[in-house]
Amino acid sequence: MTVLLQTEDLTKRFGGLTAVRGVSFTLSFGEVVGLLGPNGSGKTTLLNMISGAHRATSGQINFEGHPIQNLRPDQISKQGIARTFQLVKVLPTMTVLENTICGLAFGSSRMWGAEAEGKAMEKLHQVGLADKAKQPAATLTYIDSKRLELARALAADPHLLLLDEWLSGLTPEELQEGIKLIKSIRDAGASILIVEHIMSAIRELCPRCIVMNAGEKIADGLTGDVLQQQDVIEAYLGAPHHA
Amino acid sequence: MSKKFGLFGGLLGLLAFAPLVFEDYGLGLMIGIVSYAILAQAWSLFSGPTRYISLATVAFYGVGAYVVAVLNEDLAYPLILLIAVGTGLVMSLAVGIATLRLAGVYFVIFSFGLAELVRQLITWYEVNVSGTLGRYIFLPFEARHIYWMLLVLAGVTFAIAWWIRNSRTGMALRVIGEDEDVASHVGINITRTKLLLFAISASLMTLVGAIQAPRWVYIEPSIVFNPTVSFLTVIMALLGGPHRLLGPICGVIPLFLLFEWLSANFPNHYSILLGGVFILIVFLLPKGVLEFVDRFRLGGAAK
Amino acid sequence: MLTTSLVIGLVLGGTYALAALGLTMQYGVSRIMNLAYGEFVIVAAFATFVLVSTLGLDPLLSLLLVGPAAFVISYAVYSVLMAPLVKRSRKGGNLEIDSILVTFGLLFLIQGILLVIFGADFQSYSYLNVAVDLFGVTIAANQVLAFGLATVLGIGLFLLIRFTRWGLILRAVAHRPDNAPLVAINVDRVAQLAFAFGGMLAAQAGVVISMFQTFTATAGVVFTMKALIVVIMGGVGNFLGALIAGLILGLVEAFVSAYLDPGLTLASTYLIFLVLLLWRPQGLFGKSVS
Repeated sequence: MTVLLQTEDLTKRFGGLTAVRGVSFTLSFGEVVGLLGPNGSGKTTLLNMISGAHRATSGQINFEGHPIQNLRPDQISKQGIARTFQLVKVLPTMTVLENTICGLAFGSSRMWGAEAEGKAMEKLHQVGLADKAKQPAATLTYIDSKRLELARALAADPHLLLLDEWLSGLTPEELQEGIKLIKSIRDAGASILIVEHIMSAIRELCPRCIVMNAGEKIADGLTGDVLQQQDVIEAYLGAPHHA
Repeated sequence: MSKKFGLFGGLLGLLAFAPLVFEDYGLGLMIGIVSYAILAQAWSLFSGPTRYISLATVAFYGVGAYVVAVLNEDLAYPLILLIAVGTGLVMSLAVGIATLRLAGVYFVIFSFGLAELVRQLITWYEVNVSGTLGRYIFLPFEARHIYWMLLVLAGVTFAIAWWIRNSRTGMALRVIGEDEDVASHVGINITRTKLLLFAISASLMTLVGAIQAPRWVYIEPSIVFNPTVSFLTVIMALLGGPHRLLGPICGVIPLFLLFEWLSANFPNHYSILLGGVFILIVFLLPKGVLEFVDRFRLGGAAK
Repeated sequence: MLTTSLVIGLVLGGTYALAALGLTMQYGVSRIMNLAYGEFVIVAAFATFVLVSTLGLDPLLSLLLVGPAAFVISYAVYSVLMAPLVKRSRKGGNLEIDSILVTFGLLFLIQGILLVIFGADFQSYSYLNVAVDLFGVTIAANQVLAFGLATVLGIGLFLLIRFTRWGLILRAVAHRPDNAPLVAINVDRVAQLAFAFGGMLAAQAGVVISMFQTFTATAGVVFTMKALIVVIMGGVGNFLGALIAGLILGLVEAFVSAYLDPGLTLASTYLIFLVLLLWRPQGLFGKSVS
């Protein structure tokens, strides 16, 4: 399998706090990898370094063979990486369609005009928002905002999709719909890195997963095996007390 | 669309006949209105979508006028205008590079003092280096020539504004105004986009000053760097709605006439009234200026 | 010449620091970007001018009158102009932009009033205009007094903020306005008091400045600019930073005016500001923001 994304000894410090410490992993073309860990374990920071929102303190990130650790988010987006945000970020006064066109107009695809509109509508169909295309994004429900963010991220057909807790905060029914949606994207051949809390979702979506704790990678392998590992269970449930 | 263009062109053509209709005073008013229409439109071009409130209009306007005052006897007129635009452009890039990467408030502060800085620098230069503080402008232009030139510039400005609104850059600006995180992650180079727009906006303002310069005949820094120009531009653009193509002009006509009337009838209390009207406008826009702007942006689609 | 510039620089710097402390109070604690700040300085200078020239009052006494009066007036200005903006900012308005715009209007309003009453000429009054010898430098007694006052007021404020309960509350609101209510701090009330206090400091700076400098009705903008630059240099909400940055600015101005040209002082101020924005936008003493 060809390597799509590779990080090497990636570290991020905020003042005295080391949020991510020496994390190395690879993600192959067409692979869907889950990234999990307790709150504050450094998952989102790791994702932010890949998307360029944070600059790594040290270490390397290679994407399709090129180093990207020193690029700005807009440059990384042009390389073909797209993301969603942990706290949903849609552009409230723009319409759903315009929000989606944003994903096409500036990044790797640079589409505009009727062509961009057609492509955006196609993506809105894919996430099930086509009938709301003309509404301002401010009027969407929570799940629809999440769908819209996904449509925007998918719009430019990214080579790598980064999902930051995209499934969190949904009702059980919405969660099932959401999982189905991501599955359909996965089955279309996308490469995805999924940051997620929800174990059941990871089990269903990701054949492989990486677990972080206190800024370090503590496990990396087939999801079924990893979730059995003693230190992973301890990281989630706390160390067993010895009487 | 072509119908709108025809209407726009027709209107400009009609306005071009104003010098045949109006006497000196009326034409003076028309020059003022067209000037402020350009200034307010240029201001809105940048400050509308990005929400970076620029208080530096007169810094560029004054520089334009001063370049003409300095060079009017030495160079061909078109060349002078070119140099004026170039000066405004360089100045805007220098200011933009220093401040546009930062939070909006730094930009506001910098733009706030820019006119005063330029005024003092020019005064210093004139007193110490060239030795003449005031300058005369001898250009063979009458009021109607200046009016026509301004009218052409207004046409160009509105065309630029229209083009940017419908272009990728216009969308980029709107995204930046809404959420810079999203903007950078969909591939927008934020600093470059802001810088580009600020430079276009500043160049247009510089040109207004340059074209208007011959109206004064005699120029000195305290005349052309009058802070009320920045001030009026901001209120006119805000009242009209800086996000709509025709918004700025809607603000310009009533306010220009109001202030013209105030300055004619209450010359000594002009500044007080100006301040009062401004405060009133900010308060009258019920949920804050930006909310007001956004409500219109949402249009009828809002709940 | 060197020591002269040094002493004059410290005198100027002391008053800038004092003015900047008031602004950092208004912007750092109340979150009001007050573009009419310099007008408060100038109004106090004119008020002192009137008290001195018509009633023959001592400028020091005027300090005791003008300061508290400015506190009351600023308190009222906050109630009338700022409080509604703060209130509507909770419903989605943007306090920073609204306050910039309203105080921009206020600037013209106050300036206009001053112009009507006093005209556009430079004003000054003569006070303690005798030469004294200080460290081998001949300097006007009023400048020595000004520096002394600025130092006393500045240090007094610093101690107040550092060691009193009220100072602790101010710092809490400056650093974490969102969390302050969790420890039972009424942020609105603190903001209003801080704004009034900031206005009082502006007025005190104005009185001190009037003792040794000429002033005009239109000079407010320059004071606002200088105070803003000092605040940003020192780091927003950083009181000690403002103190040090004020002194630096005063020294730079004194040296530029002595060795280069008095007409270039504002330009030098701006140059410092530009370099600072490019190099350390968080301020000389601010914490780095990522």
